Amino acid sequence: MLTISIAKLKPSSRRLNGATIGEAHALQVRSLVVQHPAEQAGAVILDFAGIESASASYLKRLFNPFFARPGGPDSFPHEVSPILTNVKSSDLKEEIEDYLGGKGRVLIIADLRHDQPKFRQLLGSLDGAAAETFEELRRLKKSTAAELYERHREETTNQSAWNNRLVQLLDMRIARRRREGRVWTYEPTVKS
Amino acid sequence: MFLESKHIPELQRLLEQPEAEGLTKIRGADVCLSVALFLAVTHHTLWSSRKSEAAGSIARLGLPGVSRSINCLADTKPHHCREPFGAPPFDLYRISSKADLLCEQWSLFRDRFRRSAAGGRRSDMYIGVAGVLNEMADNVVWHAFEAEDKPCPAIAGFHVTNGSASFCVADCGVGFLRSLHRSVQWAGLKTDHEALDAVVSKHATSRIGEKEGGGFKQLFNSLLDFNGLVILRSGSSSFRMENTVSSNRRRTASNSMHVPGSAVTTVISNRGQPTEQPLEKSS
Repeated sequence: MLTISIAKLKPSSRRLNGATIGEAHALQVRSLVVQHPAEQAGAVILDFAGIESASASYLKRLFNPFFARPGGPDSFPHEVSPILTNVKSSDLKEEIEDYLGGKGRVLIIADLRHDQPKFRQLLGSLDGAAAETFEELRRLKKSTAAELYERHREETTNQSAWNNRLVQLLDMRIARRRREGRVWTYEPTVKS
Repeated sequence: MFLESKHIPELQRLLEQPEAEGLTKIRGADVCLSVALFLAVTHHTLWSSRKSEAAGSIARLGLPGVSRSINCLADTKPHHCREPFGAPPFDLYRISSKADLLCEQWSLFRDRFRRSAAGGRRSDMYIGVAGVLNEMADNVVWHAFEAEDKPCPAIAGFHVTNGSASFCVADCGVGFLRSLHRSVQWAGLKTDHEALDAVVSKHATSRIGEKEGGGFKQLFNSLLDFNGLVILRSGSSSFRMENTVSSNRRRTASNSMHVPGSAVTTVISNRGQPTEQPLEKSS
């Protein structure tokens, strides 16, 4: 999996302020993602070690491309899920949460064990149905809309509702999917 | 005579007098940082418009800080300070492109401000304030420029005295109103006053697809630790916001004749009323 040290992006600073630096860093992230094959860069670890704070304007420029609609000027050539690690400073955490709150987004914070990300927590908040679906997916490790519908028949009247919920997690970049035969199988972007 | 931000419309009126004799009234005056930067930006605009006589009349006033500011703007590259790791009381930085805010010189300039303002004290508060200076400069390249390939003269400066620190970013760009008109959400704003109010009260931004701007929010929040004064000027309107640790935030707006461009000035003081201070004669 591709790991990008934010502290090593140029210009480097422990305190990241401004859209201009955010844009410069986003371009470098994009360049690194493009250099990696899609199967390796489907998820990217953004390592915030050494970063103490980041302004809202910086974070918008850095994170927005991950959530941009495909084909847009800012979007990546393929879907990429950002995974954050080493978000140690309380200021930085608050600033990221402020950014996410304003956009209705969430981001995964993970710990790295033997270079593999392990889920630690979500930053930002999911609404009720999305939170339940995400928790269930994490518990099951992988699942399909049909399986979730079978397990929770009392909650929804049809399978489409589960399908919509899973697609929502996909759009939020906290789940990914692959086709197995005729059905989509979903799993969390980061394993527990 | 001491000329501060509130005198800028009057200065503009004097500059527009064809014979320019009115300017002799202010020869030898004391000026604060924001006035020096306003005059430098105006000089640059006049010079670029081939109004060299009018531009020369500003340069000949001999006001503190103005010649240095004019020279700074005239440079084709960001200013290389002789003491990059020093803590001068007065310093300037030209902003003409995004690249100017990505180079090491800009980072060193902000660090000089932080060191000067902190005056040897170790405090995260000054780090936050130096970050705000970055946001203010950022606003120039994102909002004041007509387009990325159509920049405008812009300059950042700081001035630190014994009891206060001020910084200012001034430009001769499109102004807050025209900038906000780029966004559909704010296309209905009609006056400079409405534009400034939208920025201050509703965190308006001209960035397409973004509901809220963060720069000024950060600016105002960072002042909570200080007695702080923020002066926003754009077109025919100016807002003056004062924050004292002991009392509530106070805001006054004033309208005047149209003045080209925009400026954001911030004054912080550890104690007492934050007020603009005259630049030293040697500036």
